[in-house]
Amino acid sequence: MRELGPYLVANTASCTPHTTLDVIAQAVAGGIQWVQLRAKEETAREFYELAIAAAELTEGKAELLINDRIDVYLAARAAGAAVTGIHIGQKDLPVRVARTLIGEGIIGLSASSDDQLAQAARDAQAIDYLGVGAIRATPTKKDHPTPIGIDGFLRAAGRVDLPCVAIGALTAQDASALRQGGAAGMAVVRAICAAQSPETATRELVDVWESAR
Amino acid sequence: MRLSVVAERMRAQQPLVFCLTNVVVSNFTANVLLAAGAAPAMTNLPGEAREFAKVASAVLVNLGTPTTEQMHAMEQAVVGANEANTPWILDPVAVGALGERTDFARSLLPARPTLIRGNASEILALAGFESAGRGVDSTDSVTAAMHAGTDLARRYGSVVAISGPADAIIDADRTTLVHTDGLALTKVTGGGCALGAFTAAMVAAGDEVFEAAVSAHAWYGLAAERAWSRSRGPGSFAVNFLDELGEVTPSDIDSVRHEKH
Repeated sequence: MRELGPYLVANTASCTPHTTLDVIAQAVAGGIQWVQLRAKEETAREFYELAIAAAELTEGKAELLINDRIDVYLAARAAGAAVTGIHIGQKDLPVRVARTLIGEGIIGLSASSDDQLAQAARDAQAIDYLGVGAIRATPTKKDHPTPIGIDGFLRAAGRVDLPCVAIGALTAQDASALRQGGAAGMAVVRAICAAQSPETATRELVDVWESAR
Repeated sequence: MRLSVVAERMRAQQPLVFCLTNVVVSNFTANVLLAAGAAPAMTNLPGEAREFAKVASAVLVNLGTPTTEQMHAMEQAVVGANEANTPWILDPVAVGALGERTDFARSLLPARPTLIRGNASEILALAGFESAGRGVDSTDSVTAAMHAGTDLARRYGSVVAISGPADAIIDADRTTLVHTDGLALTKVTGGGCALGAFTAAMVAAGDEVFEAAVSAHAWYGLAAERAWSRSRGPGSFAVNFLDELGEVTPSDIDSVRHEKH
């Protein structure tokens, strides 16, 4: 897995006026191949039910990763849902422990500082890809790391031998610079979740990414 | 609590309101803030917006005439405001009628605006309901938009203020109507936009956002009512309105009719 491409973080609070499931359905129709489900304020039961419903939309078309909650991922998987992995941050369970818990399954890890990137390199066997940012300060995530810009991202990505996905207030306009610079993918929240037409927004993003080589 | 408590406190504190607002109403907005006793700052530089939002008393994000650069500054201001717990007010001008600003306004909602101020059509559209707005003019009634206001309040923890013949102030579980005759405010440009900035100043001075918003709308509407009664037309109204804002007394504000809905 070297390239992921456009990547939707379906953040429940950012999905307005469309529902989270509607955003995911439209993004899949628009050609997205990576979806991360992020539900910071929902209960475990709500998140679990959302994950199962989302998996029906993504099955066979896109990867579906669960943000932070390894328990929710395991529960949805046990229920037979096509969830395909997790994405965790620095404050979640250690990535090696996560690998032991979930076995096969994709693991993405957020890393931004030099120390975090160095540690990720040491844990590389447990990790499938890194989420690196924030590229820009974003109003969507309160505890985002210090913005590093696209240049900062590309420097960071060059230091680790893992696919790196950029995140942080990105738009389709950033796709060329990121892909040409060696980004494995670009994650967006608002650019799709808050779009009038998430399907059109996704298609545009996929198109510019594809033509950016 | 008396409506005038927040007003008196605002005049004493002179809160600094960092306005990222539109080019049409900038001057009028700054004058409204000065007349009421607050301090305006009107700047749009992305590189300093985050820093400035941290030291300001309140931030206004008004989408009247956005540019790509100003939207970038707005995002940075919202980040800074949330980092420093500075209250920030979203005024979704013409949202619903125009696609790009609608997407942008909605994208800011997860950052939980302290208060959202707009007309009925804008509030309906922001919440994702059908609205009949045509740019800045509302064609929906305040009553018809109240459920949308409640919806936004519950989802994002914001207080919502809907301007109209009677203004509605809404939070997750209550609605108060403020009755003044502020119709004259639709005869000059910036009447609603400056109210957003003025409400920001009041929210900065108040202990409680909802009460501050009710008080702000009472004061502002009363000043408009009085100004209109001694004006020849919109030109002299704009001037008289600024005078009245400064002359309204605490007991005048307390006399404004308001009721739970």
